[in-house]
Amino acid sequence: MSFPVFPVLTKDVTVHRNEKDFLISHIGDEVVLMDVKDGRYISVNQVGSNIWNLMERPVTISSIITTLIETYDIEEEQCEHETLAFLNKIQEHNMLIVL
Amino acid sequence: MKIDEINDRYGAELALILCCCRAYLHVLPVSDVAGFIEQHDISWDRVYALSMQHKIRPIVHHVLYQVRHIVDPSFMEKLRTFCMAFSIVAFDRKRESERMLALLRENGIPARLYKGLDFAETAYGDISMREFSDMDIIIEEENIEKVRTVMKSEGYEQHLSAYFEQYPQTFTKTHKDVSFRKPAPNGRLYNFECHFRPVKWLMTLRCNFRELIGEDYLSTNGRYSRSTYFRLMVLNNGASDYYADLRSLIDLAMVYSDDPDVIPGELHRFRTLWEKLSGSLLCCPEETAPAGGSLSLDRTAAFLQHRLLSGTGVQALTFLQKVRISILFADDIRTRGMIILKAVHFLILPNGNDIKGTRLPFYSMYFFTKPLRLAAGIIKRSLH
Repeated sequence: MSFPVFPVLTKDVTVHRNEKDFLISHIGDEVVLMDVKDGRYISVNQVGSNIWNLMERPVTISSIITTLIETYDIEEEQCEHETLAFLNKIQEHNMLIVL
Repeated sequence: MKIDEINDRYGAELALILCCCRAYLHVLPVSDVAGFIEQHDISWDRVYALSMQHKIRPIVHHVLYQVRHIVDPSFMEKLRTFCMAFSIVAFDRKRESERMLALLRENGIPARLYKGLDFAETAYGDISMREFSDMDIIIEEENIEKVRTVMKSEGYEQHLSAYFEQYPQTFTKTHKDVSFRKPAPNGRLYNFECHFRPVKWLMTLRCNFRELIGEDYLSTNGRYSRSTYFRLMVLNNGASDYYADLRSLIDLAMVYSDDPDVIPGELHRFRTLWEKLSGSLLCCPEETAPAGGSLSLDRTAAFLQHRLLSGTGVQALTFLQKVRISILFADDIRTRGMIILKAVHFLILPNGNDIKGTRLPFYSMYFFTKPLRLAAGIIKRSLH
């Protein structure tokens, strides 16, 4: 049994959200998605939705972190850690395109 | 109609609902919605009930979320919970619709989605923004039997199947669709309506999908345009349902076209009816159709507006209410006469309930059993 190998995400990587295989709905600041291939639902919280919205166009992870620090009262180190964790998670769901 | 006037006559909750609709259509700034909330004592339970009656909970959530700091938190949470659950239902139905559509086409049956999901995507840009329940598909009348076979093979049950199987010709003459349903995994129902005609038998209006949409009405290439949907929804929300809720008015505002050629002749009055109602309640279009010219149209608009605003009126119209409004709306004696004749014909015509209840050898025999069934129903109701 082989597991998919995803590119390693670092601050200088450029990413773009993958909407192709998803049905998407915006509820307030939250985003609800369904993978049309397997019918799986994914609910993204407010901060995650903010990141999702920032990836409407290709963007570097460092600029996402900068925007989040400006928006939320958060330390850079913590922001980087949580942003990368979120991006890794959505990458596993095929919701991320790494350029 | 001014918001203050609506507030005085129908209450702050309905006025707030209309503020939300106007803000959603960008004819009222969201700051005015906030101003209204701050100046009035709002029953949030009533706002929720009205949003549900008018099938606009996602729209109300969308607008009020922007001013959530002054909205009752438990009300916002209730709306959010509904919108989340509805999104999942909408996604699930979209997936099932696409699956069934592909299956129909694989079996050589031309078919395509319309109204519901498809309209929500075209008009609202988000299938979760418009409350809907059924999944609608257009088919050709000659393919009904094939559609039945495919749907049944997928576990769907046909509504009124006994009627259709015994008297297919009468069924297709008096119905506009065949509907199927089966339990969905989330405890709800998948409910498909396969339409072979756009107009109900009771309507005096006569047209088919080819005339309304064009020769390629079943083409799989692309979506129906916004102007095509404007035409279809004037027929569906107006001529068929007499603009029964605020969602039906917003639907048309979302795909509004001021091109007079978009609407065929017979539907023009229903478009004017929408312009009067929507112009007055939603300020969209801004230029409302002037009063005068047609007394019947003005009276119908006034009647429907009161019905929409009076709160208790937002329920599906009964057969007799529809007949009453149709007579009110008709602009000549000949049309009124036709409506009365059709209504009487409809009343005496046996329907699915007659055929389901009793098996008789000939359709004509049900003309005698129907009065008995109706009389029994009246007696039963009066005893309760």
